[in-house]
Amino acid sequence: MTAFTLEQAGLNFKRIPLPEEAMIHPTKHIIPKVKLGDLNALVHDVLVHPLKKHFDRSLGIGYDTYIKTHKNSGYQLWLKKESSKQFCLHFDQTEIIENNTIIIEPYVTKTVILIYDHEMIHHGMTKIVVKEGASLKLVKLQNTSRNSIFVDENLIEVEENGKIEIIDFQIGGKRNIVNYEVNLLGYQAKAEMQSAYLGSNEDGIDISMTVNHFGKKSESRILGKGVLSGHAKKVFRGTLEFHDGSAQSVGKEEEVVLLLSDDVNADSIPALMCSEDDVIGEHGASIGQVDEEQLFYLMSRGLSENQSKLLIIESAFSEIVQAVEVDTVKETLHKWIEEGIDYVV
Amino acid sequence: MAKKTQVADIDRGIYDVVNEERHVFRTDKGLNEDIITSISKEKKEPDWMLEKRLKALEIYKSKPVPMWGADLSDLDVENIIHYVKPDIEQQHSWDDVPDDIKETFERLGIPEAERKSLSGVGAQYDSEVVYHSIKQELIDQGVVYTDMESAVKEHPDIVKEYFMTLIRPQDHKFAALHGAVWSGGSFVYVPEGVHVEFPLQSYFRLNAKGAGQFEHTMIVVEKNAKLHFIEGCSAPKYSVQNLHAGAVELFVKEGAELRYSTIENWSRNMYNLNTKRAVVDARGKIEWVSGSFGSKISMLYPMSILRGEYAKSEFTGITFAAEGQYLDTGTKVVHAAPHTTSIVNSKSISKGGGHAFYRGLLRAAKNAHHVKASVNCESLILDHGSLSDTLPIIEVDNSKIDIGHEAKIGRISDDTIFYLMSRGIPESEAKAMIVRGFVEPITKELPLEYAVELNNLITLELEGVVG
Repeated sequence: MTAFTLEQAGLNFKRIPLPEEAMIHPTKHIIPKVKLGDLNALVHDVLVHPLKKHFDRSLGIGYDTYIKTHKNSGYQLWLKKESSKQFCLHFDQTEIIENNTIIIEPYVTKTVILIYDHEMIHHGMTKIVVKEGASLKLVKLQNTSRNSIFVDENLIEVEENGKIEIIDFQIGGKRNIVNYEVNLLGYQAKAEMQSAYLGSNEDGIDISMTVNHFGKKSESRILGKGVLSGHAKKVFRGTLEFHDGSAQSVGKEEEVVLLLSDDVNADSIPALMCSEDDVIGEHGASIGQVDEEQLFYLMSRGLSENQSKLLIIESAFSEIVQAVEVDTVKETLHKWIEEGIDYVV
Repeated sequence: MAKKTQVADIDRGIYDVVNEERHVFRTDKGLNEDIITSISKEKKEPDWMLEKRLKALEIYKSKPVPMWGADLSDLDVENIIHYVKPDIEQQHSWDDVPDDIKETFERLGIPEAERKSLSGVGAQYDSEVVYHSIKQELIDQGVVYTDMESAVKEHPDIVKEYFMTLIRPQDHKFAALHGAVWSGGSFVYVPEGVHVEFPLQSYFRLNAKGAGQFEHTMIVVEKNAKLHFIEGCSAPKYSVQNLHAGAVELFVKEGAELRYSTIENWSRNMYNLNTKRAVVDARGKIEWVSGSFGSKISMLYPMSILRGEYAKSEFTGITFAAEGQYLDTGTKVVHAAPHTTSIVNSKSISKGGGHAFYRGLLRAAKNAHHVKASVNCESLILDHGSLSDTLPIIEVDNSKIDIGHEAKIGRISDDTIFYLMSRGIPESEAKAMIVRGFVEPITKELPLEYAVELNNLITLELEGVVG
């Protein structure tokens, strides 16, 4: 029996559509600023790396074409042993359509941090290849204005013994459509994906995280944590697909959602697709309010209700914040989260 | 290379016996207004029913085939005979049922079960119910258990009030098809406060080749009443397609309890596109027990609508997909009132290239505060080439809820086996224990004879790694 197309599997529904007004056609080219690390790592010409496998949970060929035709920015990172350990890229333009490539050489360990806090409209397509034994930590922090539109697609391939670690923060924005798809191609390839989001007012958040296991003994973990208030609407899609041949692979997905208002709309679409017998796939979700006992305890210690809620939510995110590991970035993130939670509560 | 566990297929011997086809009336293949009118005329139905049928036919024609789930492109409704009336009038005593039909049901153990443990039995053969009986004391208490056709004539008030209100022809293509050609099925009415101690059972047998079965089951359980209903289905195997598009509408009133058990063992040429729904009022409870073993393609998602405060729903299901089968099953729960609770417990096993798909929906509406829900699905894949998918969707529209969900796909964990072996249990037995333990929560809910059958199946040739 063959695998299904997206439509047949019933997975492609409830997509929050790309807003019409977001489909802009800018002309001016923008070069990102580099904070940590050196500019030499930005290679502008050589890398048109063909990805080996098809990505079928992505936003589609139409979106791919749109990015290619209208891109006004992009970075091409070729991470070699001698380049800096960390890169922090930062954009300060208001309209960006970026087409990016990251290739990390075999047995190299790097961290790439991308900060988005100026855009009103952002479109991005990032193709990443993690070569044999390499390890890449990709941190994406989005704290654009509360009226911005943020669309981001990431297609990632991991080869033998390679590891991709993703940390994604969606703090600002009124429409966030974020799509990560990882193909674990090689033996013992690993993916660890963590997503944190805050939604308030009329925000619409659509996050998809997909791991396709192809390689033997490949491992994956997806963790989604979010807080919703106001009339926010979110869809979180976590998909683990074990393809034929991915024997002895293990995949785990977890989602935790805190709801702060009765007008929110929270949809979870976890999927486990399995065409290999010798694997373990797990997923769990828990949706609810802030635990009243925790709240009571904190309030009995003299904190106000809002302060207590703030503390509880902050601690829920701290696991993901700690994973960022770079102190300066953590500080910024702390500040943003605090402001964000303050606003949400 | 690790040894794999062999689990034998269900012995279909007793299900595959074919009787000679004797019928007094059958429609032509396909579907059009004349065929619908002739079915209605044959059944001597009131006009309002014919109107409903024709309207459903119109809707059927305008609806597209669903694009998701199973591949239905091989299903050719034009080649299905939608109504076959067997050459027998409905009987109330087994002795009057013609021998071959009687034998069929006896082989399936229906009359024996009736004597032993049931309050009443209905048996449908092709498109019509051939036998119906109910214990006298229940009749005295006002319980009605009859076939759907008689109910239309004898209890038009109740039927008119509820018929196809829960499953409307507009809902999807096969609900519309059902509305147009429905025939047979059971009608149960339990008056206020009556507890039916022993279960009622209806058995659906499709003997005719290339035919469809479209029975309509309607159960109304009034305030504080209690009922357990068992439904069984089977058909012999033919090389052409058979279609089953039944509808089950359950109305559970305030404080009432209904348990609906289904054991579906259709032959492997059957398209099982059944629709089941229950609506539960305040403090009522619906329990679904669902075993899907047969059919070529199944798309079956019993739905519970909890519309009264403190209403409850429980779903316990097992799906066993073997060679050539695609079983897309699951359940839908809609929490439409405060303080409602639901539990979903689903297990699936796939082997021999079979494909089991759990597809579920859990929805908490805006007004449904203090909802508690838990969904638990586990799948076991027994050999290479078999497929198993899980897609439990959760939709939440308010904050005062507590929803938990867990799913697991995979093989038996080595740690568990190691633990059991360290206690002196041989490896093969440890594995058998684990598999039996895996399905145990379900088997204990099944009627005894099915539980035994399922257990036998698992015990067979259990050795090597299950994985």
